[in-house]
Amino acid sequence: MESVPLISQESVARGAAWLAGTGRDSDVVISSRIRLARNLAGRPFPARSTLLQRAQVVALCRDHLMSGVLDAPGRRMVWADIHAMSPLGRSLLVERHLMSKEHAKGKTITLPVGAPAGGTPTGPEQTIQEPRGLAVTLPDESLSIMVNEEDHLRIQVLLSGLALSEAWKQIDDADDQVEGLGNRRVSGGSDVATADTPPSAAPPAPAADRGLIYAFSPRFGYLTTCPTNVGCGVRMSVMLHLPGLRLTGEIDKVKNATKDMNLALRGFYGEGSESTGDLYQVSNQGAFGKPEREILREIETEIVPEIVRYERDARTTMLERRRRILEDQVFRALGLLRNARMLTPEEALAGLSMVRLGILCGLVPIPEQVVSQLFLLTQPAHLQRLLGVDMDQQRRRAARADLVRERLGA
Amino acid sequence: MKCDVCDNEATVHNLVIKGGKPAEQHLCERCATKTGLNNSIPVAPLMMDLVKQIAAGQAITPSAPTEKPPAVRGAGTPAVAQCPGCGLPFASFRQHGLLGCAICYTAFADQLGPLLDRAHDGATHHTGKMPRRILPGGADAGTLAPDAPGGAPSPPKPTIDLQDILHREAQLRKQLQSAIAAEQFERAACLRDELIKLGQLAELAGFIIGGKKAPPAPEAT
Repeated sequence: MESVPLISQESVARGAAWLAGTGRDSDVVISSRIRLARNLAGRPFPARSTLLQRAQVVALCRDHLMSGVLDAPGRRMVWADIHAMSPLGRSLLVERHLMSKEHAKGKTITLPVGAPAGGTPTGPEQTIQEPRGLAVTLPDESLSIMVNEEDHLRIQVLLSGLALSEAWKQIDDADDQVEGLGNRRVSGGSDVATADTPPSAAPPAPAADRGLIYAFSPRFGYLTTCPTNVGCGVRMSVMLHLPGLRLTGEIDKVKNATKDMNLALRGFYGEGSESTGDLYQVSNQGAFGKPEREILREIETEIVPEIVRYERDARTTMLERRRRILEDQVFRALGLLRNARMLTPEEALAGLSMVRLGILCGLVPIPEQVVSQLFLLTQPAHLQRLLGVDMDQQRRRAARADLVRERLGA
Repeated sequence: MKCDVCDNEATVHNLVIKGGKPAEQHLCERCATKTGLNNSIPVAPLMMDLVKQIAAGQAITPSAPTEKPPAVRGAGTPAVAQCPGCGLPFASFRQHGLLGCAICYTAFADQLGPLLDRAHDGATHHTGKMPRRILPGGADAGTLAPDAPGGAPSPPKPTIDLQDILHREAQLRKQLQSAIAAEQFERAACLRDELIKLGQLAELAGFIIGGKKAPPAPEAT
């Protein structure tokens, strides 16, 4: 356990704001996320950097991000040196979708200690973790910035429900602040206020607060380590809960349709993860030669509403024509969750998915929030933080079953 | 090998085409700088491609997109194609798909361009948000131009308009293509040099800094 945890015990127990079930179409759309990939000009990208260069980037970014430019009334930025954090502390941040698995894992470098030049090491080997960090706004956790992941900066805004436009407003503003423009946009103001505001309207930023200079090319756009991200460096994704389409056997249609539209459909924990709990992420692939607004419009006003409609139709079909099957699935899941003495994370997610469907179809009188937050709270690191002890797999399964029974009022 | 001009060791090797025939130039660093040849970006690959194609009796086409840039250190002695900024070998990029620094984009532009075209439905240029800072002309690319003191409107500074760069680059590329098609190799070499200069100015290290704010991209919110 961290001596001073980044995320407080109360926040862990509460779950996460992006699972709050607020925002548009939240019966189907769990959350909306936008991330920007940015690199600093004149410095090698992280994978090609020496330890010293990485440490310099961390220091530079931390100083600027923590200078207050990203703070707002009731919200402040906090910083964590991920390389100095315990594995459990890192897993917790991954589960809360504040950083990637890769960022949590990092690379460990082995240093021979006490070796005379060219000689054999005399002392024990020492390992160090690559310098990397994370800045998060508290208490809402809606804005987070990974430093030294694949790119120097990975900026993310994560909101509940279908809220890509709002997420774009927030991340566009944060991106400008990272660049150190100094003239902060007033919330709810004009979209392009930053560029249109006359210089006299905003005091100049103090010298130490000049901001970070991005690597950018007029031809290629924001320069990223992986050329698939070059251009806008943007990925917009929406997490969907699609149990109805699985029950009606139409989920493959959605998978094929998104593939045809050059969108990626991934599981709960991103690339390569399974769609346990009927949770899927739809996101754009690449953003070169296509402006952000166009990507946003396609996903938010064309693709997602269509999938939402399909899912609602599927739920209605199940309720009206195959009610017995629907009820059977929902109540079996509820029976399992209310009675099991040991649960794997997969069992918990699959069961919670069916119970959530039952709640939204009016079959189960449990507040939807209780179930949605359990999606997160039943994850291994959350479970251990909630109970305040490190546990092996067997104990976690028992603790998971206890927590689910308690929250579902069994 | 000695420099063609003085007695120093030749470190810059160049291929020039005069009257349709290739000729080699070997210069030391100082003489090369004097003649404006000392360019960290290989000028010769395209011309080498052309020469090879001519030698093989092939139709003239722009350099193959995924081919490793040929050697620039004189005929027959291939050098490792690597980024002058971070030393990343192109082969490593082909293997892992990751670039090492901003300069890689300029150094490997010929290979990356077609790759991106294919991966992104034929898009050739970035559209969308741009950094609000841009490079003031002639300023040291490593330093930030100071903001206007006291927040007063700053006097006009020599700046590069990103839209102008985009326009100019598109123009040059078009002219280069037609020059190659018309077998006007000297003209092609000049256009190539201009493209490189333009690239160096705005792209080389990805420095986009300074006084004037770029106009907001119309699509970006």
